[in-house]
Amino acid sequence: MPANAAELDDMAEYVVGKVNDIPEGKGIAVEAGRRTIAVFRSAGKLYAVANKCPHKGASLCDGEVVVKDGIVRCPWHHWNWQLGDGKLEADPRQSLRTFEVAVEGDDVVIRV
Amino acid sequence: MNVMSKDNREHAKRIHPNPIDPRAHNYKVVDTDFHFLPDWQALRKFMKEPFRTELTKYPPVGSDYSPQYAIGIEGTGQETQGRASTAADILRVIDEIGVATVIVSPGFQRPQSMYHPAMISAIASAYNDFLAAEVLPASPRIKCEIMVNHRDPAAGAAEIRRVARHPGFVSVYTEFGGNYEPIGTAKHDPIYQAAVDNDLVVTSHVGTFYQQMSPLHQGTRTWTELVGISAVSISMAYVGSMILQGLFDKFPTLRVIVKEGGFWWLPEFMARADDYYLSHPGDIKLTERKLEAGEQFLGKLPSEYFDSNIRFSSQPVCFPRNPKHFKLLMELCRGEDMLLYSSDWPHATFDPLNWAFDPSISEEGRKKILSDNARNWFRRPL
Repeated sequence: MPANAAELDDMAEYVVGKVNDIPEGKGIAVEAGRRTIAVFRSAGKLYAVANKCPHKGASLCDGEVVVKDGIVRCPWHHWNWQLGDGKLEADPRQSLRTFEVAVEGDDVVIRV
Repeated sequence: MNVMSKDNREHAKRIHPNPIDPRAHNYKVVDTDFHFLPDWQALRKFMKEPFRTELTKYPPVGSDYSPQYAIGIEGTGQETQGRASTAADILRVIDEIGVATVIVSPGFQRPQSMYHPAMISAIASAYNDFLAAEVLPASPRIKCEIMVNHRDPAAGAAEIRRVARHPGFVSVYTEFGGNYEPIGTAKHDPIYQAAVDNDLVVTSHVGTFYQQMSPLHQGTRTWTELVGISAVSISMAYVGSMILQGLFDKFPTLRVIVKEGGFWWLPEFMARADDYYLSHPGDIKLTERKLEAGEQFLGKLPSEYFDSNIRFSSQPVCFPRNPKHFKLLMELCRGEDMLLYSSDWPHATFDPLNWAFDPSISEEGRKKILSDNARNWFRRPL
């Protein structure tokens, strides 16, 4: 059995809401199992990432959040996270965990 | 992605996670640095004439590098998390950030950045009267620092004596930074005398973002150099002036808190100051306080004054890349005894208390950092 097979078996899909629940430049946080995931829309595209900023623990989708050009700016200290690959803009060695997201009909679905 | 059968899906619950560690509520947390910005017109009502009529807007201050270039948004970075203009604002915010008692700093006023002594004194008095009339009565959870004009020590001391009887004031606010002399010099003794006479802490907060005009910092171009780094060296210089010029020998009961000046530098400072002092003590007797007292040397080694006279507010706690080193730094700097939690809300450098739950900090240390160290240092009921 591959090392990550058990993890894959544990993966689950969650419906996080309707497409219109996540307008351009905004994000929502959802509880998906034990994880808190943020789903954002930037330039029409949906992204799902871990909601907790690794810097000091802010919720990435509450407060004065800016989502622009595929980047979310943390409301507390303005760390810019690239939504596509989760990397920190000013130091790509640091990253946020990213998750698959898809639209099915009117539903936004994430795989966690 | 490979979509699973719809039957296997759950609906995720939409939430608004509270990013503040919920365990905070078990600790009666004291926040020793929270910035308050009254509405200018509200403050103006408390000014004496002719200032009330003339100061229709906040006087210009000596800040000429804005962090907006660094953070890409308008403004000074001083309202990043919001703005507290009233007691109700303060109480709402401290509930959100897990704080039981707050010590409000007049940091927004940047008193020492103004180059007009009479204006500084007038604004300081108006601010203190505003607090006594409209903020302190709102809740015993709110305590305040006395704003003074520390560039005019006689006026600063008079202001302390004027308002110190009010139990809601727990400390005297001063700033380090700028191109004037460090506050440890003897000309500031009237302020220290007034603080000691009233058993009030003196705080020294980073401020007066004019460091680039000080010889130590000519040539800075970036916000990180200016506030991130220069603030540390300036705070070291200020603390050095207090210790080496005999401040704590003259006022042995004086309690100081250094705010936003860093503290991982303590081991370097202590070893270096002791060594240089022991090798070159001949000029100690030439400083004003030692001339006045007729003394040759300091009462103890420079490093020994930290325990008796100096504490540090915690923000910003800087975590080393290797998490194990945090524990080592805390041990080296005696962080569990020397640190008083501070949030710095609402500045761009806001530091939530979550770091205090790092497992390397002992439970006793956590209680001290979050609450007891402040209560013991300020002494007035918090």
